[in-house]
Amino acid sequence: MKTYILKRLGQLVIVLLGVSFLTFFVTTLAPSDAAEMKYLSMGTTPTEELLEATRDEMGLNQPFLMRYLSWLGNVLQGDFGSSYKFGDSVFDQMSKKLPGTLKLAGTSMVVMFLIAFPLGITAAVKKNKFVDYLIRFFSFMGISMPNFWLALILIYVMSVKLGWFKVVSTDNLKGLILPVITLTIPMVSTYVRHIRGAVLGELTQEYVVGARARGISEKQILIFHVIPNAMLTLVTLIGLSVGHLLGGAAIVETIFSWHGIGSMVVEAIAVRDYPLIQGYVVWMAIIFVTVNLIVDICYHLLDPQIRMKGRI
Amino acid sequence: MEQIIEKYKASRAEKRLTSPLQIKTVTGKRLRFGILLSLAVLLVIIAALGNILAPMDPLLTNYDMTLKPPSREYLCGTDVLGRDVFSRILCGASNSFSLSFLMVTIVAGIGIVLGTTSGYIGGRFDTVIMRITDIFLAFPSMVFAIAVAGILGPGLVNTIIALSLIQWTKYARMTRSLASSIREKNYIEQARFGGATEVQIMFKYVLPNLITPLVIMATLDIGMMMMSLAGLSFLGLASQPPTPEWGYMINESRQYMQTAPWMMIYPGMALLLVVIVFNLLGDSLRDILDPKDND
Repeated sequence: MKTYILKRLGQLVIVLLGVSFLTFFVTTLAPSDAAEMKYLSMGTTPTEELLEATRDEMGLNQPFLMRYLSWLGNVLQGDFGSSYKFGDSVFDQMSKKLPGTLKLAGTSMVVMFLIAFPLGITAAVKKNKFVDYLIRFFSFMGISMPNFWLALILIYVMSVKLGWFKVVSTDNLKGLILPVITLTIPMVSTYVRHIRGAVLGELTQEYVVGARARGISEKQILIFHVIPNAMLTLVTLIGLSVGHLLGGAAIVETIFSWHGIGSMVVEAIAVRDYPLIQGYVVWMAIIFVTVNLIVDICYHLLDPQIRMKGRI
Repeated sequence: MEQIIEKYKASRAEKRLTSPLQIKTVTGKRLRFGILLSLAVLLVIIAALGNILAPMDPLLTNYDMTLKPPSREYLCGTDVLGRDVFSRILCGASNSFSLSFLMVTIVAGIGIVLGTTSGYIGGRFDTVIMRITDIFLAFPSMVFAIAVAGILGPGLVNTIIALSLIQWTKYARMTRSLASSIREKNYIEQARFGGATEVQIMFKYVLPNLITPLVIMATLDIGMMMMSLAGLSFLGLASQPPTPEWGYMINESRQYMQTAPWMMIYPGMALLLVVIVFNLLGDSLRDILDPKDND
């Protein structure tokens, strides 16, 4: 177990280094001059001498690798530079906006599991019956629907037509409802299929046939044997859904004017706030990779087959 | 106990063999695939002829006819500049289709070349390529697409770069695993003894084996590419006005949701329809070509 965690941590470092390198590399490909952008976003038009001085000061005249290494050195100390748009440090900006996104993502994840699990299990048990077809139909629709359009339709129906919600999200629980629905529907649709598949896979195992032969009722087989075994998929789905939630947050937060890192980065992109965009990518990578590491470790701890393999 | 299990299995196997449903489902699958394929082809034709079929110029503004609801003249209503929404949807279709096809081709191309060489050559080259795919796969793709498109600046070319940069990895992964398993096969060994060059083996024996799974993946990918593209357009990162593009049209409609909901509803319906058809087509293609997944 220890060697496994150490190995995974090693991979994690490589992945994060790769992501940071890519982010930095893409930024250097950007057509506009970072020094000029810095002044323009502050609202001043700089002279050529001032620009040259700033370029020197920002280290833009150094070779690429040198710049990357010095940037990386700062990043490792938690210093992502300061945002052109907001003025304060990227670190402060990110930690200010992160709770909003976490609140949204966390709620969506809980709601997703509460809906997806019962539906997936029902679809598997009632395989090829009407209920199964109905669930699969809606899951298919949910996968094919673009989330930004879904969000607008929800606003149109719930806020404009029915008047149940304000068009702009408020910070309270009620304001959370529409964004959470928007994030949840595509995820539920995708994961219902996973859960259905996992439960169906368990149902065809020999131990189920054996239990049936021993005269144990279908309900008991399902509750005490099949579902606990299928629960491992839950762990996998947490890992998968984090990526979906972080990616979806940008669009959903923008539409509902929710204060989080997703809407922040869209604003940052509009004014070419490079330090903030770089910070965003690296933070997202760290969150995503860490959650997946924890998920994998949990998977190892929970699955006796994987756990025992090392010992036999 | 054993006997009961055996009997149960035997009865199931028997059922599987004799069931008339079995034959029916195969033809049913073929039929479903046929219908979906013709639907998809029809959509492609409509998209290709979009500019000709459009009853009006999609860029023509008319300030007397702004935000008009759907009528006989304007099937899907007009937008804030008095442009015909229906014509814009038709012309937007050709953009969406050509870009999605182009991107799937680019992505699959890069993925296949890197994946097969990596799987076939193996060794250090393989390790490097696979670590690079790890980096991309260990990362939410939409986050990266938004960041890359954002840094490079809005525009179609940059969006294509951003999406291609991220999506090639899954093709590389798949072709690599297939190619490395094919490498071990006897017929490759025999071809080599027969004096075939490595390049000949690659084209004659390795690539043909990859086509089926690749076609399935690419079909399923078209809908996804269209959605990603529309999503980036919606954020204002891909298409620039006044080009008709579904994602951007939906973005423009946000402000007029109360007065002109048709501006938002119809482009979204078009996108939904196309994505559904291509997703269904991909699923049914998998049903036909990849029988081991079937129950």
